[in-house]
Parts: sequence; C-alpha cells; structure tokens
Amino acid sequence: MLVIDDRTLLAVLAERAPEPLLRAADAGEVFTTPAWYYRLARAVHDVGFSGSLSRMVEVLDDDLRRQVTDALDELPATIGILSARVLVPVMVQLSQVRRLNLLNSEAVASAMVLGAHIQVTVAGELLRSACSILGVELDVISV
Amino acid sequence: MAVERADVSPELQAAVARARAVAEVAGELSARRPGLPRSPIPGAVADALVALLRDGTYDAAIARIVEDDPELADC
Repeated sequence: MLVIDDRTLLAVLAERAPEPLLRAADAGEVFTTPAWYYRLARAVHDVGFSGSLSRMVEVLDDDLRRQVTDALDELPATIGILSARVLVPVMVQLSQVRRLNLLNSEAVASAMVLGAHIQVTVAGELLRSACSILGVELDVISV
Repeated sequence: MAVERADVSPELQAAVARARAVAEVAGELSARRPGLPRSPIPGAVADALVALLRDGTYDAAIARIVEDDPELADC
C-alpha cells in the first residue's frame, strides 16, 4: 500500500506516473489523503496554473477544459482515501507526540492505519522526523 | 509494521487498531470502491500537466495556496 502526495497524484491521474505506480493504482493499492486531494483541486483551479495549461494546449476549448477539470476534481474509484471518521482519532493521538500540520498529520495517520509507505515528491523536515520516529516508511520520488 | 515500533505509545497503537477496524467495516480498505466512470485525460493535456508539474508552475500554485493556508504546507 502507498499513500501519495498531490504531485504524485496528478501524475497518476494524467497516467504519466512511473509504471509500477500506475499498476499499483489499478490494483487499488494507492491512497491519498483529504488534504493532498484538496490541495490538488485548489491548484488545478488556481488562475496561474489553469492559465498556463490553456496556453500550452491550444485545443483546450470549454468542453475539453471541463472534461479535464472534472477528471482532476473527482477522485477515481481506483484511488483510496480514508475518511475523517477513521483518521481523526489517530491524528489526535499523533498530536500528543509530534507537532504536525494538517497535511502531514493526515499523511502519517493514513500510513499507520494502512500499514503503508508514504510516497512524496517533497518531504519537509517535520514529516521526515515524524516518519522516522513512528517507523513509517517515507519514499521521495520524482514524477 | 509502523504500529509495532517501541516509539509508538500504547494510546496511539490502540487508536490505530481501532481506526483500522473502522476502515475495514466501512469498506475503505477495499480495492473495489464505488465510483462513477470517468473519461481519461487526453494525451496532449496529460503531457502538459506533467510539464507544468516539472517546470515549477504547479509549485508556484501551491506556494500561493500555502500562503493562504499554512496547514497545507510541506513542512
């Protein structure tokens, strides 16, 4: 099982992630978190990002733009995501041992519940430290 | 597995075990999740998305989001 960040998720949704990761997603073994999913959706609707996408893809008319936005807004069934009902009690306990923001707390809690590795493109010091102390495998990859 | 580490408190271990049971009962661990069929992203758009991921455009969007909401920061 893998818990992936928003950058990796974008590459998976575009079907441009490394092949093993795409196979894992097809097998239902890839999860993300509510905060990473939310951050991806906000980035896709960011004026700077969507403007750059429009400039790069000349054929991006309104219908195609809507298709792409829908595909990125709606998490496919192949990607798992744990609910707040599952995550919050673990995040509360995590807050007793480590000071983590929402993004990192959800990631660590998801990985602990799933017995999963966290796979990210960027890992800050707080996330690295929490994973090390709690025994969560953290992989930093390029997509 | 992570929850068996000595650095994990009994309270945290118990919370993880309970959460796993809740997730299992709710079907959140299953690979067969309900969902609507979705259209694939056209190849040219997929290439453009990855280019924006690699050239820093996506990270610039994240920087603007994080400025507004630090709870979404990589840290």
